[in-house]
Amino acid sequence: MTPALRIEALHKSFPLPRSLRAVLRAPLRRESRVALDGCTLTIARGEKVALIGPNGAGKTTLARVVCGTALRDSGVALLDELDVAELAAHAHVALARPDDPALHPRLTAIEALRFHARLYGLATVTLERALAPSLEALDAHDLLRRRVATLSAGEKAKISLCKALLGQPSLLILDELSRVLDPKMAERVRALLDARCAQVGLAVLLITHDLDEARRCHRVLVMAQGRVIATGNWSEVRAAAHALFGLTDTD
Amino acid sequence: MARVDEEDRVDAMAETPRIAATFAPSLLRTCAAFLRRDALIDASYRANWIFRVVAIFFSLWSLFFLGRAFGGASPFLSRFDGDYFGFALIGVAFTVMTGGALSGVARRVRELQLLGGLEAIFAAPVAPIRLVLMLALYPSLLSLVQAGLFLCFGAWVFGAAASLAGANLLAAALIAFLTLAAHLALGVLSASLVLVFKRGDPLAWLLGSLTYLLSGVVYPVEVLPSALRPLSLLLPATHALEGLRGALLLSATWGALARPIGVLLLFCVALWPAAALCLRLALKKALRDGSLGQP
Repeated sequence: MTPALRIEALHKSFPLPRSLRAVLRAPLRRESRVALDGCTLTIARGEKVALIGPNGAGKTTLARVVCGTALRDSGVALLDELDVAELAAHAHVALARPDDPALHPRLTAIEALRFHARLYGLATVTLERALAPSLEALDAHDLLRRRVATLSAGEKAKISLCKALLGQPSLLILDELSRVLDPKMAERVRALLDARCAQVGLAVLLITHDLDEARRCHRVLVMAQGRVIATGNWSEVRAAAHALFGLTDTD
Repeated sequence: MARVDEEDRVDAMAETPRIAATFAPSLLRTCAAFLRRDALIDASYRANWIFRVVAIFFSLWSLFFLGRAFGGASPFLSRFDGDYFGFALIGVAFTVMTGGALSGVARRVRELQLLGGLEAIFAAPVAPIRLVLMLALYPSLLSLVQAGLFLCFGAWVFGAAASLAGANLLAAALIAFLTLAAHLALGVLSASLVLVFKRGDPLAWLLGSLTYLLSGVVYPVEVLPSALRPLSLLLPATHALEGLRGALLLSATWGALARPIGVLLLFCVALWPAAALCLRLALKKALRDGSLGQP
């Protein structure tokens, strides 16, 4: 079975700003910071994978490359066997995050969702049907008529997740979504995602600093300095994760 | 009991059929989405609409009194029977109309950069050039409506109706369309610069200033020193204003308007490929530098 996401030897670096003096001295010289350094990973359909790592490990850069909002320098990045840089691949991935900038603060939640749905080719009638299960599962009906600017971080996260699930993507990336959810809502989100993984084969990449959250996933990827240094279930990567974060077994 | 509810909820969710589309939306649907969204955002700033109408009246009053003070006396206005108000009305309506196309796109791109929504929009399965044009749609249409209101108030409230009687409206509409198209291409070029350099919109500023100075917005081009006149021909605004005044004030025939229409068409043909290329290069640079979402 083809994986939902296949990444091989992915490299990405960002140019560093240079002072005027440095530019005048050596105009052609380029300085850059390596964000992804030969990153390799695979996520199967229906699999929920946690991505953990220290700040600056390259987790968000990886998400941006997969979402097509940053171009890789080299390597392979395929979504449903489509190159992530291709326009067609954009419909196969969705990103949810706590302070989702895709939700304009002056719009109500339903207006923002409607815009997003139309941008992804959904008709209004389809939108209502596609939205209903997520709203039901997250108990978010009451939020629809409220302006995005007035929503709390957790409420915005719920709407962001509803938005991300609208287009029925193959891969859903959650960028630290759980950090703003209360324990009950975090449990509901887990249940929602587990059901989608099991029933429609949704692949989930959960970027998190919450090791307890990571432990509940099918698999954990430990990332450091732009590459995946350990992969497996929690017990298999625990040593690597603890070493990376300087934790002991009692932590 | 609560546990059962939770399971029911999850089951209901999982039973949802795969009904969502995974194809790129049609052009019409994308247009409607952006128009509706931008109109809703604009409508949420209610006081802004009052200021817009008041600004139109203030501009018209200023022009009206200028016309009373200086109209008729200038030999440069003899072609227009000394009607300065009618002459300037077209000029200012033109700047209102092109304002949205010229600087509206760059302004929208910048707003989204600051809000962080640019990455989210470019992550959609829609071609980037189409997305940028969609961002320009609402400001361009709004400018067109404002220019229309400007002309209507000028005609019926400030008495310019007589000057506009017998206007070649069809030709004026075609010239307005070509003018918007040419300025929209310049707007896309300007937005490309904003994508790369972020703050500042040097192209729109330069073009706006040169247009006001050289194209005959509030005074005829004939007033300019002979050394500057050839420069004015390099601006699409000069030809657009010549065509619009010919069609609206002088009731010019299609034959008489062929030159400005032809030149505007040439501007469109030359500017659009350049604008598309610049946008593509700017977007590629922003994606490579990872700066699309940076303010």
